Amino acid sequence: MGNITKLSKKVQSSKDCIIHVEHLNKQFIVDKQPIDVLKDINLQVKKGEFVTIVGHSGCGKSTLLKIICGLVDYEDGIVERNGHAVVGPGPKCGMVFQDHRLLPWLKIKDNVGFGLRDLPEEEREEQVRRHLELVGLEDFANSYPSQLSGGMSQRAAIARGLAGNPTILLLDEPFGALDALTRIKLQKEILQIQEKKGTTMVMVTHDIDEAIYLGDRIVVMSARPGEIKEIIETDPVESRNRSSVTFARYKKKIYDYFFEDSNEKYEMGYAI
Amino acid sequence: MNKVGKVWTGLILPVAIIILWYLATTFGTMPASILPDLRMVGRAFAEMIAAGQLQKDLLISLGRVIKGFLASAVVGIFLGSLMGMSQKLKEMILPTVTAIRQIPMVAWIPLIILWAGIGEKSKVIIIMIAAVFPILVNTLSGISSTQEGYVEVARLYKLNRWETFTKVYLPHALPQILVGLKLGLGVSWMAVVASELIAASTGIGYRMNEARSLMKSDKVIVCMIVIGLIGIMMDKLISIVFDRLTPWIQLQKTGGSGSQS
Amino acid sequence: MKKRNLAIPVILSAAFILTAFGAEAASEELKTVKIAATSATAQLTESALIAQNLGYIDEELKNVGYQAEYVGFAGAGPAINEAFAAGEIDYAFYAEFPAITAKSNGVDLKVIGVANQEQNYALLAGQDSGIESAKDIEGKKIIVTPGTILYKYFVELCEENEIDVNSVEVVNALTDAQAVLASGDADGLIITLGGAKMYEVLGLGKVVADTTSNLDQASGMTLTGRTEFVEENPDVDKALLRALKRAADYAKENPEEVYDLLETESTPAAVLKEVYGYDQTFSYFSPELSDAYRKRAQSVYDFAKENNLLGGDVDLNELFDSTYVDEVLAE
Repeated sequence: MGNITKLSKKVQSSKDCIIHVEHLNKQFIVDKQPIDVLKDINLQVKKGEFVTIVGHSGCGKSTLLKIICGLVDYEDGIVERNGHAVVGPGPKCGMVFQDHRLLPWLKIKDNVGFGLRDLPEEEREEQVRRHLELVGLEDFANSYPSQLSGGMSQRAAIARGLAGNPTILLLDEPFGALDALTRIKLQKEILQIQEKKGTTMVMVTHDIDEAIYLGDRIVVMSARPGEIKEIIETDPVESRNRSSVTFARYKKKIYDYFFEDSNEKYEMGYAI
Repeated sequence: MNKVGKVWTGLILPVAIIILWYLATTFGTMPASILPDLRMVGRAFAEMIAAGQLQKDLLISLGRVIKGFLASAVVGIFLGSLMGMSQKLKEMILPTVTAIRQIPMVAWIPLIILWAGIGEKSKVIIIMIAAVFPILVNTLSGISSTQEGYVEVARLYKLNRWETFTKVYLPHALPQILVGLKLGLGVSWMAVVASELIAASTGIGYRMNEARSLMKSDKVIVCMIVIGLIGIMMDKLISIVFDRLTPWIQLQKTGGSGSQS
Repeated sequence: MKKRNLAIPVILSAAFILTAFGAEAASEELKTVKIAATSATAQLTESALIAQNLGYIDEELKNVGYQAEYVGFAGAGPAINEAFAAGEIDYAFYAEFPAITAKSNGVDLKVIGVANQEQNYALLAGQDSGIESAKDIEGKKIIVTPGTILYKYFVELCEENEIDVNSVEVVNALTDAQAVLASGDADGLIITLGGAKMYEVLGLGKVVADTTSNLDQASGMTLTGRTEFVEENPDVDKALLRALKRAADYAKENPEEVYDLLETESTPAAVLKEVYGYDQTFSYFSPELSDAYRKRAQSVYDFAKENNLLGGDVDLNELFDSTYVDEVLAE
């Protein structure tokens, strides 16, 4: 565990800090060699925030999410969730994966209710119904995942993630596999959902536009080892306007970070 | 293709075989003692039914097949699941299983007689040994091919090992297990005929053998056809049961998918 | 280009191989006759084995321009009959029971001689079975194959000892008899005398009855051929029968050597002595279809008919044809 005396300024306001990561380091052993995946990560997420994490693939952002979620262990650093140290997954922290991972043998309603098996039946059905409505899939409760399109499946995955009313929802590139138009549609929808439910959301993405549009704050990470370069706070109004000058400014700022690595090829587009 | 169309298409080959058979026996030089003509087979069939012996033999063999097949299904699915879930167990057990699989049934028979005698038990054991392999191997494959992503979802929702097995691994493996069961069933029929070579005096396999030694090839063919037909029916039965258990697979096949995004 | 390069070596090799085979065939000039044996090893039995070992069969066949190809049939009678029906073999050394069965089902065969007029059968009592004589099989479990010559002997034993056949539990497990006896799942076994003596040697039981005490209950090891071939090639028929006769004569004149000549991997000479030694002149090796033998054949036929094992009636005088063997014996 980390050195307690090295608390940074931000930590002192940890009372409304729903996710608290301090001096987190993570190594993986690949071919008997240790590789630094995350280096000295410090991050505080306030309740109700929408934080986006953007960076190259391989920069450890998915790993960071999984550590917060409790799916990956950590040895070096502090990671706290809802005021408690993270020791594993829990009902108050949901997750949405890039491949929707709806279980193909369950109907949509049973997928959405997958984490609610401890609830009495009536309550579970109610929660499922409400969250299907939330994502607009109430007509597909009895369908199977194979009958849904990619966008619909991801909506169902989001419903599943929110069905237990967690305080935190982590999203690992949830729209990465969808076409551009669907992606934009779902970005709007996820904002609406967040407004309705007030869930704290942390989303990892490749897509710079998405990171700016959705994030109250944007965590810019570099690769090998994964480090936080900067945390950009966005203007809540301007960052929701894709054609505003402020939007473009944020975009350039983030781009510049990735132009720093001279050996990489870049696509002039919306994604890295 | 709709269901009726499927049945018709399936009949093309059998009809062709019957036509060839008729031609071979009417115009060919095949000795009747080896390939009797359709009429002789038909007559033998009628005689055997009238004497009631065919039904009795069939029921006895069917009973053996069912017992042996069920035993092999239980053992095969159980062991296959264990080995699919645990790499260590798989490494421990699979090489031995593979080696045993190569040993022809005939070699087992004296040992089985010593252990299990010459009654019904030894026959069921023979069927079980023969049928367990395809079931085990297919179960193992179905379980171990379960995507890590689904297992991670199970971890996310804190399912314990048993729950993960029943709610993730097993449903994923069901279609493959079905394949194994169908293969096992076919093998069971072959095995019951072999098992009725040991100290049997009843059963359709025994009857077939007896008919062969007496050069009653028409009876032999009746037995073959009956076994084939019963085999098809049992195979279909398994399919129907499994279709009920795996509705999501059917939908994949018929290509039902949402139209909106 | 590549195609051309391969063609020449292929053509040359083919030509070479063809000439080699052609040359071989030309030098042999012996026609082949296929003879079936009832063991997987294609080894003959009885006087035929003596004749085979002494080279008589090869000699006699060569004189008429033939050589023998021996084919083994682990499936014995039924498999040999199938081969006869398909025309795949010309002769077989096997029992008369399957020959009669085949003939009754329309396969045209002729029994032209015997390699042994008196093949004997025995009742073997298992260890700890409590069977001291044939009388004791009542209520016991005996391994017998239904519908065979062994079953005939079993029925005869029951009749002789006034035992109800149904009081004996018949176990159909001849191929696995060793295991069945060893595990105690059967009390006794009906098998050839030679087989029974081997079981004695293996410690699996003892012989308590056999047909040497009543030779009418024995049966024969025949030389049977496809009628078509037999009628078209009388010289081959007589060549084979001549070889058998010479073997029988040799046995009579050299009794000490007989057991060694009959020895196989599965049955040593010492055991054979107990099986064959009851007639020191080995008169049963005469290939003649004698009256005593025909009586046995008739009894076998009657048994088969009574038990509905045949596909129809058979004229035994047509099936058992003495023409060729009588000519050979008169030489």
